[in-house]
Amino acid sequence: MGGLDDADRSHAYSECERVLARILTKRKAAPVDTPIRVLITKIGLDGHDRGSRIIAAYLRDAGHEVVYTPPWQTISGVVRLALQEDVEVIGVSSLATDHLIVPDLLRELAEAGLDDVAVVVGGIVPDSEHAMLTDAGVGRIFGPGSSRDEIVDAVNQLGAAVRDRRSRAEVPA
Amino acid sequence: MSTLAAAVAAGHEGNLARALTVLEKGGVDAIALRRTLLEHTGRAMVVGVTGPPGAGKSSLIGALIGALRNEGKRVAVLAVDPSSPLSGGAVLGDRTRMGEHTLDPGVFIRSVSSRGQSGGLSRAVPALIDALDAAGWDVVLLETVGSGQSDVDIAEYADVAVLVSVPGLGDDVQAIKAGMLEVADILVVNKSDLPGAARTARQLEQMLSLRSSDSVHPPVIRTSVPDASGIDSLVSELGRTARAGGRLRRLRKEIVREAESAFALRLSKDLVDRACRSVLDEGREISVVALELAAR
Ligand code: B12
Ligand SMILES: Nc1nc2c(ncn2[C@@H]2O[C@H](COP(=O)(O)OP(=O)(O)OP(=O)(O)O)[C@@H](O)[C@H]2O)c(=O)[nH]1
Ligand SMILES: [Mg+2]
Repeated sequence: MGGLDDADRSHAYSECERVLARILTKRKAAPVDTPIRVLITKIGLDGHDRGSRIIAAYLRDAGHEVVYTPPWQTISGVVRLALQEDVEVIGVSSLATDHLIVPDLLRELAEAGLDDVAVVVGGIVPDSEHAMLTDAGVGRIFGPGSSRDEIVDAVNQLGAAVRDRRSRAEVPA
Repeated sequence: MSTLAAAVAAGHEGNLARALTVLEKGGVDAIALRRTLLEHTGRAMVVGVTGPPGAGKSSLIGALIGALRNEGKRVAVLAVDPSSPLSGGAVLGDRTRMGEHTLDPGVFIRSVSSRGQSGGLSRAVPALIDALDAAGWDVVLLETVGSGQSDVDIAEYADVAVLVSVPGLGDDVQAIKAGMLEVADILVVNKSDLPGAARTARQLEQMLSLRSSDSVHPPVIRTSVPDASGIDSLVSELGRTARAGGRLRRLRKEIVREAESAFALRLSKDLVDRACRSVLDEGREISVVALELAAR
């Protein structure tokens, strides 16, 4: 800075760092409440999108950031979205048997290094097919009539777990 | 250099995505990361796209991506949508209109919530631009929250600011343009497949000539996304219009904002310029420089 000699400057500098450090510790001490990032999507040919729209609105109202896609996404498209958007949770809505390809989605996610993302499924999933999904790694399944609270709680929980795992695995910046 | 920053600079997509998350979150990690990333910036052209809700910003960006890809450019997009003032959450849907580029390895799209910030962008946007720049993306297309009224911030962060309007806004044209006309480098009348586009374009030309005594004023380009018309003219205009020194301008804006918002003071241009230089030339941390200014 003009008009300052070296001693002044170094004093100003350390003073600034002190203030900065104080501001930063204060910021850090406050609960860090960054929104959970969730991808709400539909794969396959099923066009029933009421459920996925409602879920997107529930999660927005719960304070989360929802990347929303219309129906008819491909599995590889969902994987790329999840990667670029750095989501913690993926919610797939399925009313016409498209949940049957969710295990393929999980496999491709893992191949892309996204095996830590939580995946939930909602819509019309016959009881007899639940085990197939949970065995493949689906975190939760929600049928018709699932309440807002149930869904929000589950996403909070799963999202927080993913975040926790990631923060421990994180390479320091 | 930090591992994450190195991976970003090496072009690893997953690490870039994670870096953007870190930068959005802010705090010590973001500051450290930004500092390293700044060493790799300075090449990307940043194109800001603003305009009222539904004007076709996202659709137009979708079309621009295609045209820029044909020129061999690698294109990144930051699409900002508003956060809910009640919950702080957001539904981010802009990229829906860019769906055909999802699988193109030469395209990177990131949805951003404004996280309570007014002005059409989020607080982290300058840092996000730096990260995309450092990762080697040739062009960064930046979509603002469509207010069209007060999104003047875009002019500070973009090398080219594009204002999108549409036919049939009627009197609204006047209102929208009040602040934005001065800062836009290119005016687009989108949806020119609809009636009234020629009239809207004429109105804009008139307003421009009234406002400025210069003989040169921003071009007015008519586009239609479904007809794929006007897109190529827009792309060639982007290259011609890009102002030099975008990066300096971004830093300048940010330093002023950091210092002024923290300490409620006004800074002279001279001081700010010097501070910018110490960030650019000496690689110093923006927040520290801002605090130094404030502590004077
Ligand atoms: C409305 C409706 C339609 C509308 C769709 C409008 C739209 N844009 O969504 C229209 C009329 C277009 C339609 C068309 C068809 N439909 Co229809 N339709 C229904 C109906 C009656 C209600 C679905 C609905 O919107 N429910 C309201 C929403 C809010 O509930 P929801 O989606 O279940 O979501 C809740 C939970 O499941 C869960 N959830 C859902 N998704 C997700 C995602 C996440 C991440 C989470 C956490 C939770 C979650 O949370 C929500 C809140 O509780 C159902 C029958 C039924 N009772 O479900 C049939 C039904 C889904 N349709 C059916 C069929 C066959 C069709 C058609 C093929 C032809 C036909 N016979 O009519 C076409 C195909 C459409 C297409 N392009 O794919 C069948 C599907 C059978 C199957 N599973 O194999 C059903 C089950 C009717 C039946 N019993 O035969 N349909
Ligand atoms: N007729 C016509 N419709 C268009 C054109 N461009 C976009 N649209 C339509 O306009 C609507 C809004 O388009 P978007 O691209 O989402 O507009 P936006 O400005 O990004 O909207 P926000 O992000 O919500 O502010 C969509 O239904 C588009 O299909 C165009 O050139 N002509
Ligand atoms: Mg948009």
